[in-house]
Amino acid sequence: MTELSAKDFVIEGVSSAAEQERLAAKSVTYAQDAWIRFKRNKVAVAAAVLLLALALLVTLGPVVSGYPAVERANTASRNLSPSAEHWFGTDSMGRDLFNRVCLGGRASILIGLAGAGIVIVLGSLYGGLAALLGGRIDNGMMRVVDILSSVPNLLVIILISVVIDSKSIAAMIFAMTVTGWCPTARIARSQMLQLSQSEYVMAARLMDVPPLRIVRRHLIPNAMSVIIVDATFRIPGFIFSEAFLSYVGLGVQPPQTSWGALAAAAQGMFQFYPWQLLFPAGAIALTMLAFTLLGDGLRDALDPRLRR
Amino acid sequence: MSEKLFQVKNLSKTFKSGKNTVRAVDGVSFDIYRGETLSLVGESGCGKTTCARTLLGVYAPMTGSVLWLGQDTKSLTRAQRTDFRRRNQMIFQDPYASLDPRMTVAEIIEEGRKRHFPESDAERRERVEALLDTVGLTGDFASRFPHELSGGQRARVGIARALALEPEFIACDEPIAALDVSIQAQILNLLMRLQKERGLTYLMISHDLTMVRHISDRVAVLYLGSIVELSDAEELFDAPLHPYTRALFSAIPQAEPGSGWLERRLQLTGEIPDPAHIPTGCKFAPRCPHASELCRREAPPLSERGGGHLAACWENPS
Amino acid sequence: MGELLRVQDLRVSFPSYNGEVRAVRGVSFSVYEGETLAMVGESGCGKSVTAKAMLRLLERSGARVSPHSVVEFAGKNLLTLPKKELNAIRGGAVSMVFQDAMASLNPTMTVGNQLIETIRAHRRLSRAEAAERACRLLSLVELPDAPSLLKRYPHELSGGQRQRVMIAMALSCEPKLLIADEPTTALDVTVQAQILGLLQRLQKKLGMSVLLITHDLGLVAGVADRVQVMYGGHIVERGTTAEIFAAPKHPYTAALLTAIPRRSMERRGALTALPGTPPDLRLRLDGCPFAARCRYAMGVCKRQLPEERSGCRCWLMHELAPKVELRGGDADE
Repeated sequence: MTELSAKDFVIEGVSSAAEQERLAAKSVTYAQDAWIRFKRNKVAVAAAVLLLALALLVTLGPVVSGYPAVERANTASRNLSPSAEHWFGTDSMGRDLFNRVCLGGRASILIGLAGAGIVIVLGSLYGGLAALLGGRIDNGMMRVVDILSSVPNLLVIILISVVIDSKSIAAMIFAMTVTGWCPTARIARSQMLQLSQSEYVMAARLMDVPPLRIVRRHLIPNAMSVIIVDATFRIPGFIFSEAFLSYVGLGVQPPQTSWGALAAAAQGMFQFYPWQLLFPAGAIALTMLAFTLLGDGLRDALDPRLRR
Repeated sequence: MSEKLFQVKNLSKTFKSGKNTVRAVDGVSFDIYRGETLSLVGESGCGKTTCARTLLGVYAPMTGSVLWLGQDTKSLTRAQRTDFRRRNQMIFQDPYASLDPRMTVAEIIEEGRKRHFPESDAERRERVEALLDTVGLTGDFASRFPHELSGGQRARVGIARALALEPEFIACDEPIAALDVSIQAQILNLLMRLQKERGLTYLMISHDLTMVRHISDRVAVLYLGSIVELSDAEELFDAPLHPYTRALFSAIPQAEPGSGWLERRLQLTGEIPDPAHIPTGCKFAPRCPHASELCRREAPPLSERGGGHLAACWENPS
Repeated sequence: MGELLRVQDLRVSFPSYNGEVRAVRGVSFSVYEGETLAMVGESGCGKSVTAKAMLRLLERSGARVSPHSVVEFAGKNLLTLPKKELNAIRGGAVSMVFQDAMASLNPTMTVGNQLIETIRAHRRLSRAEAAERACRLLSLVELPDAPSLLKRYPHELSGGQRQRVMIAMALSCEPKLLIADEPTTALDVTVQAQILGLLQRLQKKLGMSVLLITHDLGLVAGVADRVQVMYGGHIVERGTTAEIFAAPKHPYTAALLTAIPRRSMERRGALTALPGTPPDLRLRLDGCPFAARCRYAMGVCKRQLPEERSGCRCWLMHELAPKVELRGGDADE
């Protein structure tokens, strides 16, 4: 402790504004805070890493495995067990199974993501409009949603697939999203209704800001985190629906393949060549789990109430 | 006497929640004169916030009317309504909830301006900077987000947002309640200075009677949706007439030890009843030490007691 | 008056992802029998953390209390007591009332059951005996119709009634010390006065001490015997209520007193306001935490934390310091 003298006691007064700023408490962005919380959740991070790895694999897989994307049937190597040459073995047509799983993954994951993307857009618009217009229009719009939701999802998908009579990926996506947007619309509407009670929305109304601008500028950006979390949880459902459709023969057709199609093709010979079913089925299960865990992590990270 | 900016006549606003109907505002009448600060005070359930919001058109009134510069706000044309919105603004209580967390300070302040003032981007930016300066914030705040600001700074942004439209009237809904004591004084000083500089009219809603006493010209005391007393601020605090007002004022903590305010206050029995089940007759009768049969039967009207002092009470208080 | 509780060098910090928040930085004080001691300060000054840390209520939120800190009650250090003994004291001889009764009461249990649970946690009584005691407690806090109130749920009660129930729970084992953390902040003015009056009467009746945590100087003037003012994790001034209000020694105290509009002030006059905001408690802050906002700040204030002299932790108390007439903040904001 240094000795004190008179010059230490000369009054200098209040510190400069800059100095005060330096000393004042800072807070963390919502985004930074969410990222930090997400990182803490080891399981969610693992899931995210896994999904990233999967995405890389299905894109680059064929390159890595050394087998061409479109493989000719090779009757000599039919139904081989997993080995150094064929990491997952081969299928009934002699094609490298690892390759097939990667190719199939492209379709499955694409369908999952596309489905989610479409329901986000459709659901948000519909739900946002209902929340904004309110009153009887809102009522009517939500009754439509209720009716569409009351039909079992899988049934709708099957019916539409049969009716359309097209087995392309686009057709499948259409079948899955034709009622798939309903839950998202509900969530979007309830979020936006809640947000429209916020004081900043009231302030915007009092300033005579046009309603559509309020939706665009205030409601949608603030509702997005909840909607995205919901969509992340829906992806496993889409992947599973695709698998199911393919399993019953209504899904992707050769030469295109998907995990469901691979599983369907392998089920007859399951007792003899179990790996042909196990690998694609395992891929489906793993991907669904990863998306669910990711969604969990996202939801916890983005929930403003859990902020410190 | 300056002109009447607002005339509220017999305004009522009811809300339904489940099977209960709540008369949040129950036949309220008062005027607001240009340039004054009129405060609405009362405890929970008194309807002061609902009153202000109905005045500004956030809620449509159930019955009664609000006249703005002589014109009924229900019958405004689209263009007139836009004008009404620009000239009458609001400041909110919760500095954390009243700013959109996804917008920068500059975007928040200029949003209203964009709607009402055709300006070039450069002009608008200048205005925003000028406004920041007016409310005591430096230019570098423009690009910050609300979460980076303290409570006092957010309150200032809220004020800047309202001022951006160059209003004549601002309804201030508990503007400092959520702030620390030392910051409250800053914001209060700012509001008073702005009023002097710009000739603003304020409708102040508050439960903080000490603050109200300091800055108001006139005060209206509300209880369960009705005005029980209305008067000049000075007179009201020195000589309140209504039993509720007297009890309310005596319960204000006095920062003067030895004043014995706690012991000497007028004590009321019970608490504020559920606004969904309001008694007939005078609403205050169940808790009033002077209640009579007449009080329980018939609600007293708001009557003139001399010098613009109105009170709603059957007793002629001595 | 005997010394009931002694806090010595209490230091509490919270780890957070962008630094450690040192909320309480060496607080020492005593509470005596039968008195009401007020801890005053604004948000972030550390008063609430001090109270909760005393009863080790912050352990779950990861708070770290310095091993040198001591909280002595009835000859034992509460900070190092084994859990079983601590639980006997907590809610028993020392109990606490919080700000938001709705958040502190279990919404799925009746009032009666919660009271009975609390009582039976500390005393060996049968359910019937505990129920009877609960009834008497409700009458003690001046709640009418106690038997039927026992059957009600918290959401069926008004704010004031809930607060009284909380107080009843806190009093269930005749505490020697009641810690009240902003007990009336969420209540209406008239209800606030009722609760304060109740606390005063209870204190006299039961002969207990009250540690009142608040930001409202009006409350302090009404009920407190002694006052401690906190800022930036330190106690910056302490004294009797009369002393603090009549002749504050610390510039922050003086500023707080002039920031409130008083009857004596000229109406519509500018209030003396403090510039700036309270400091970030993650920073080390050499020197006095108030220096940046203090109009009397000197060179030494920014470099060294002042010691406490005559109940005031301020370099103005030092013999080398100039004599100043304390005013509040500046008239302009």
